[in-house]
Amino acid sequence: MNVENHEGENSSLANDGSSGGLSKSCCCGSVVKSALVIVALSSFLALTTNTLRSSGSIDLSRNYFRTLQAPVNPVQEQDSNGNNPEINSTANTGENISDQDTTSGQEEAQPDDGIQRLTFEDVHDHFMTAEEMVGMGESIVAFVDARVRDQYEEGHIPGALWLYHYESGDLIDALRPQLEMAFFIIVYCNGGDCEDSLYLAADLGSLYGLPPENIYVYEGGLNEWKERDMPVVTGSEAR
Amino acid sequence: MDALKRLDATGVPLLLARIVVGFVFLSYGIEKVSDPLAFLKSIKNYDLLPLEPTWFINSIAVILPFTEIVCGLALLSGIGLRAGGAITSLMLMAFTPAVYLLGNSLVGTTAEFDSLCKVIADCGCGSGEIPICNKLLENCGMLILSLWATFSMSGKFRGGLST
Repeated sequence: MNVENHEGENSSLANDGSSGGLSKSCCCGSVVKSALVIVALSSFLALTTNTLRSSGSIDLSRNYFRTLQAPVNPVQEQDSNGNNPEINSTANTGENISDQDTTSGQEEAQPDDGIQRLTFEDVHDHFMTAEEMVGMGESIVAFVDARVRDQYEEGHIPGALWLYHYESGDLIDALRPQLEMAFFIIVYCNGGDCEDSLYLAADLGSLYGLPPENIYVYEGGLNEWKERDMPVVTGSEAR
Repeated sequence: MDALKRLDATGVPLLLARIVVGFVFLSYGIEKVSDPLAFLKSIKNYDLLPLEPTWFINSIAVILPFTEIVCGLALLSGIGLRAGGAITSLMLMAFTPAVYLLGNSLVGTTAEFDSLCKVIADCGCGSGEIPICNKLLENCGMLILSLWATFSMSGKFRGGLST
């Protein structure tokens, strides 16, 4: 077989496979060396690019998928705007108040991960409250959109603040005053299998020091919100 | 075996392997580099890697796309051809069962996904949402080509620095 020797790693196999174990091991060694060079070069380029990247970089030390260790006690939840505390007590279960009597079995089906969840009906009530208070200049309900910027601009709940979970470290300081003022921080993403709202809710409580009892997740997300014909705002502004 | 050796000696399978695998890995790598956070989410969705220590999964999300790009360039240029082929082969050997497990986990989650080949999902590979069975076939084909590039003894179409 006419085989040219173009690189060191080819040399032993170039002899038509008849050069014996020594040359084959040399070839394997050469391939392994080349592979290590490729991995080292890739790692260098990757880490350099990640460091120099102005946005969208990955913080190697950050846990992006944080979960809470202990459930939030619903009894301690604040009820500052005079809402019926039953709403809060059902928040963890995600059940409607009207269904409360029959949901003891379903309550156990809710994940016991310390994240307070809200149903559409609960979120709707809070949204109406928030809309009424817009004119008064107060904001005790804060909607937080955990999705990427493009999705936020394509449509979000009116008044929702953009706080992309994976870049929340850079964004949180600008939003902190509004979030600290709110007694109901309702975090959402698209819904369905989207988990970013859960991770952001966990981070808001444990990483950014906001009161965990004020933080809720709307698991139905924007998909359910739109399915229920609720208003949506497009563009970069909250309203 | 003789037929395979004769086929290999033509250099055509090697050229095909270099172009197809090289281009695919290069394009998928660039796609992932453009949005590393989305790739991190994709890796996490497989639920195969530990989340602690955090630097482990984060580092994979940062480094793997660049490894794909460098391997793609190695295959296309012929510099480090066997090593590039070996790494892409190893990656495909890891990715393909992972994609199968991901697809399998989605069977029955919606009315449309009543069998593996009806599952359409974004595997995070850089190809967007595609039928899982198509992705598995694509990966198997690329694995064969990658192995060919790794073990080919043909002197034709090897590329590299010398002529």
